[in-house]
Amino acid sequence: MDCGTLLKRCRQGDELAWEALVRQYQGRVYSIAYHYVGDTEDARDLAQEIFVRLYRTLNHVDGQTLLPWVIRVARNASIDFLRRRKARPPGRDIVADEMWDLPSQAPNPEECCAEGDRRRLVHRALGHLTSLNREIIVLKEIQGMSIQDIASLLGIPIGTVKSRSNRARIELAETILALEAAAGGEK
Amino acid sequence: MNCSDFERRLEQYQAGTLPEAERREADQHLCHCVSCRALLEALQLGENRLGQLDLSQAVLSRTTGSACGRCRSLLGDLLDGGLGRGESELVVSHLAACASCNSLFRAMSELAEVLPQLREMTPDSSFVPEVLRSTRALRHDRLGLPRILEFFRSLAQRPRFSWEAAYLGTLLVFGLFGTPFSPVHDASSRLLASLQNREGLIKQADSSIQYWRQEAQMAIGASDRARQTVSRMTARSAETAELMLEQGRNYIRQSEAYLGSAGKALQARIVDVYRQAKGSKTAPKG
Repeated sequence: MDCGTLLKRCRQGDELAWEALVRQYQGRVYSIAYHYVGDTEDARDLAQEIFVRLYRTLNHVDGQTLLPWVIRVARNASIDFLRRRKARPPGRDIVADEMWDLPSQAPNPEECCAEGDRRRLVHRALGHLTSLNREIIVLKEIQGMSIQDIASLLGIPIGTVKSRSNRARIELAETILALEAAAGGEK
Repeated sequence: MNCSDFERRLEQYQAGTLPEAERREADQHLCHCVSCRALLEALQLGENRLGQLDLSQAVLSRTTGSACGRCRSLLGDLLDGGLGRGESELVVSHLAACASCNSLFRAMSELAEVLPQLREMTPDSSFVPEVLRSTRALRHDRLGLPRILEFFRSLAQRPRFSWEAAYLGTLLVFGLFGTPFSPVHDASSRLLASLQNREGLIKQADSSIQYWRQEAQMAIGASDRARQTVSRMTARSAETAELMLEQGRNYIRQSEAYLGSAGKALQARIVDVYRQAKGSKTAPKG
């Protein structure tokens, strides 16, 4: 079923259509939430909040712009979440950027294979980036948004997005090389 | 061919692109000219040792500096295929010579493959049921008052809401009262004067009320007196009417009595006159 029909049925109150839409976009929404907040539990709560926001604003979007709209809502909700967390930090005193360095306590299937190690290294490196560079990486390289859409979403010129994107990729690659060198030195 | 002709054709001679006839002339010139032969040998020796001497690094360090910064600024475009052919060749030739830029480029290439794989991360299986449970309650009130209330609630829950509200409030107060151009900058003095004026007006109104109250009491008294007078006059009028009625009746009775006596007298007179007339008629004629 195409996005337009799915959306139309969701607006009419079809629970099955809404469930299909949630299942279709849960991976992307959860990924965006995780890459913004850097914690699986917080990302899960945030992803739920994002879907509640999406449900409330179903009337404001058409089928053609569904994915950019989902990414926009997810991004805005993530920013709000980070602001709330900054204003009311959790009981444990952890700076947001430091959370990326912490080993996860939950068993993670990604740790079972080399591909998982590579992804974990990328996640750690993302945590070392500045918030704007991380956002550019998440939106452009991970979510595959166009430069025009990113410029519109962030409210900055297209040229700035291009230069920022290149710098962010270089910063990420340098961070990965540094982390690999540090890991090699430890071994 | 002389020496200057050979020097002009030297590059083509080294590259092997010289026409056959000119190449023969150049070979003949080399056989006879020692200086040109030495020049050619020096050039060939220099090219062979160029890699060992790392001449380019030395030249760059004394001229423009390292080209790594320029190269790194173009790596993203090279990965995205956004560079022209000439610029791509320049960047690739730098990557072939620079180990650090090369390793950085390889890391970026790996990232270009790994990052899209992070596009979707699947949460656990209980995620979708929990989302559906959260949104089920919202199904019937997607429009209307609950949404408006939720909007203001989320607005008030924003972390910087108190700061923003205080800031806006300060701006409002300053805009209204703080500048000489503000519409109500002297509002306090005007309000005080207005209050004082109102106090005088209230006193005036109070005295007016007292005056009109007295007037009203006097009017009420006058009205009472008038009512009493009217009632008295009404009573008197009734008595007077009775008296006049009685007098009228008396007059009628008197008139009737008078008329009766007068009629009798008139009747007697008429009888007398008649008798007198009758007597004169019956007397002897003399």
